[in-house]
Amino acid sequence: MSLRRVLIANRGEIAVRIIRACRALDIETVLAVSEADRDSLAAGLADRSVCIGPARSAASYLNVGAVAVAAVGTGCDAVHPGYGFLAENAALGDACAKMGLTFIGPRPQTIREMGNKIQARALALRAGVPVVPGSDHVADYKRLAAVAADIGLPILLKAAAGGGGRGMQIVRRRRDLRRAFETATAEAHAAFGDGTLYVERLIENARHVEVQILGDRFGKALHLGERDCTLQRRHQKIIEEGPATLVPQRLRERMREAAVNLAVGVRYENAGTVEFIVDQDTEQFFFLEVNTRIQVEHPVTETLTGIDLVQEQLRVAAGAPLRLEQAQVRLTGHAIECRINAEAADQHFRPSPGRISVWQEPKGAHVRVDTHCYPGYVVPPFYDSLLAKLIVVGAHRAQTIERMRAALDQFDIRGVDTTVPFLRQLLMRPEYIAGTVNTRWIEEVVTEPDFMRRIEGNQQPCQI
Amino acid sequence: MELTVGSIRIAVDRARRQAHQVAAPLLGIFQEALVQAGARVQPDTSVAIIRVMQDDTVVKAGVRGTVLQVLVSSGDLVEYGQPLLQIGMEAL
Repeated sequence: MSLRRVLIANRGEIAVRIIRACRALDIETVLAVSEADRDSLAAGLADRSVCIGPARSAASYLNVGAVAVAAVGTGCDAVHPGYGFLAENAALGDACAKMGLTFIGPRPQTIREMGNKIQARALALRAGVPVVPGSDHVADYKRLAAVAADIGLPILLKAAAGGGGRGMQIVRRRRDLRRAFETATAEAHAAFGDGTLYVERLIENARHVEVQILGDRFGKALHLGERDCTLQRRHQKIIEEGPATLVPQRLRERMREAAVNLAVGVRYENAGTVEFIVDQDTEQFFFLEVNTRIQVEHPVTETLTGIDLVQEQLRVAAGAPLRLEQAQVRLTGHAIECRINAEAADQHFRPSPGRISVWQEPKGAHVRVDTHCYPGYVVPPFYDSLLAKLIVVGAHRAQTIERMRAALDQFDIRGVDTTVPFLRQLLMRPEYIAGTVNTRWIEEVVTEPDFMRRIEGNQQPCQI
Repeated sequence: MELTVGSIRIAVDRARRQAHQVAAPLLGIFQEALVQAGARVQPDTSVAIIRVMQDDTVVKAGVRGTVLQVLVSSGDLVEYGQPLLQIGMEAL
């Protein structure tokens, strides 16, 4: 079986990225667009576009029925969900199966298992993957108090049913426990209709490291190395890099192995990411979650391995066995990705939609830009603020940082505020260069008046 | 209704002459037109059915007038906002 025509149920840079991968494999593309994206770059590149609803994503990009019917109605044989929107919604996989479409991603059962923290944790344990000390089914305060006493403070309370940091509470002092319980339960209930909590030890000096996996339907699974995504702000990744050279080699090898064990254990199909938290103080790593989709930062891995992950997704979904062997996966050099968002960093990262007047990308042999933007493009106010991903590769980390700085300096975007000045300042910081950072570091940096002053009034470079 | 204020009167005149297009309120499969050309409709007259999975949505005329033309056929995929029928509007 091979895919003939794919419906892409997404927008922005990832829609462009998927269209290009389809084209390379001679697969036709139909792009599902909202009313706001009718004239997007991706709509122009796709063989056809079909309007699935109004700008509001709840009625368009999140509408399972519209996506599935659009795919069947335009003669597609498969659906690629990209990331975000319906990518990790098992209902789309179910709808596809019912309508004879191939869903380009893991089986719905896998998406369900991994989407539920409690189940995912149990499956990780069963595959011999270490998990953060904690408890996965806290529904009342008495139980929480017992768990807190057992694993010791500080602890983290999360909604058992969901992700994305909603309903998350940190408890450092015993006397704050009850209030945190009440807030977390209420938020979990409001967001997911289920107040059950998931409690774990809070790792304060943490790095976020994730392993890229790829599985086929014949039970074969590989890892494609890891990415270090420690630099985050409000659980949104800002800079990603690979390989995770700031983590001891021994730990990295064990994480890769653990990721493959988990993938084999759940018969993981298609591309996915196993996220780990690394405790820099104890040099331990723990399973966090599995993202059952292509990720924003996948170009880091593509740059290091030379493997086109989206093309692999398409091949595996079509039923082909993975042609690669683990020994053939080699990581060369060091890659860094910066996310360039339409946000005014000096104004609490206020979103900055609007018309892009100048858009000039850095060029060069070591530079890759994934984007849907162009001069004259109007960034709509309805969706996320990602404008572009700038990926740079070098022989080693220091060289890559240097090249990234040069590339950021060459990136000329005017008309909307962007995070470029913020990224430039981050890359100058000695802590970043030395690697002595953790997942909370950016939150601390952005409170420094000196740091923010350097970004202020520097939003649109070279403006005359 | 007769309006005499200049700019508003122009708007009414334009509406009188123009055909109103009933747009698909959602993407789906056009099941059938419930009216044919020549039928007189009221704003709340059901004019078509669009199906998404097992879910049928009834489309209303939205205006008073006479159906001029049904623009799509049963079984067609209709996009969000796609014109389904033309209705010649009557004067207000």
